Amino acid sequence: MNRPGSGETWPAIVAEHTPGLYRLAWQMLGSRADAEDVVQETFLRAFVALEKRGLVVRTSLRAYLGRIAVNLCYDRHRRGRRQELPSGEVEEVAGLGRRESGSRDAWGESGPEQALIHGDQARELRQALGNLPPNHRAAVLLRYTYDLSYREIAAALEVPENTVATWLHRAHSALRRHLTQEEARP
Amino acid sequence: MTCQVPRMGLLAYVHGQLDREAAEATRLHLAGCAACAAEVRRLRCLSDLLTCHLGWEAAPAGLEFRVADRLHRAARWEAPRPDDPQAEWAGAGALAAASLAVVFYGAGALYPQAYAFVVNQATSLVAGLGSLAGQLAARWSALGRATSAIGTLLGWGVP
Repeated sequence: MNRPGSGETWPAIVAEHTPGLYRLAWQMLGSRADAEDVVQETFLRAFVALEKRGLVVRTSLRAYLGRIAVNLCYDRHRRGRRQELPSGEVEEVAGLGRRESGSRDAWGESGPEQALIHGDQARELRQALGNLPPNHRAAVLLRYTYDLSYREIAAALEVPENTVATWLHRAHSALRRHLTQEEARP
Repeated sequence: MTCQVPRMGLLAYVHGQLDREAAEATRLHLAGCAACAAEVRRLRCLSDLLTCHLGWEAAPAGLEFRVADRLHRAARWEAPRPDDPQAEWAGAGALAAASLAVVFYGAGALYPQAYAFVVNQATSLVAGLGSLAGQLAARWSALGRATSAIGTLLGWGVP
């Protein structure tokens, strides 16, 4: 199974893009099961479009996959499939619970106190992200979970590159304000 | 570059998204502007924080294989192999024969009289075709005998 117009095989594409797409969907939906569904559906849609319908991706495959994943996440939000995280999963998101093997440990071999501090920080960050406008949040998540360039984010969200820079700038300002306020609280 | 304008550009600089010229101009500006340099440090700090908190979650074990398997199945279901047209025709023929048989026997169960009539007609047709073939064979044989007799009479040396 070769991707049309390139020497890259689909298994290689899947291996390369699955981690980033999963992180993106997981951060947007807050559910592992939904994130996994979105990843599978993203690849399936891309496969059908590229292999069966002969679609040619004008920008980058990364941006194309990102766009499909973001749209699928929006669809799930609209269908009301977003669920509150079970308490166990909240702990995992906050960095206090189990880690998947191979995950990047943000704070290394720190002790429980440090983990608690980082856990609080993660909760604050998640809350701050949740307060962002959807477009700003999508831009931030595409940047930090899937490592897209500004140009790729622009292609994924179908807006000009300058708009992406503006959204990211405003999102960072809002996040910083939120975190600073939280820090200032007793 | 003023200190008011480049704030948005500073984030792009931290993200490595400026082209070479703009990045160099920003770097030179930062060397002489303490306020912007401090802003870049703060942006780097926030950027690192976001990378740490948003970029660590690993995909579940086996997800890649499940996705690859799903794509493989999609490829098989949606695209019949173009290099094996005989298999496609054989499949279509078998399906058509099976459909015909189902329709035929189904009709027999629903309309027994019509079914008996069709079977009788088909039997008569087959019998008639057999009779016709027998007659043709007999006539062909008689023609052969007549030709042989004429040849003998005319001395063609036909035994």
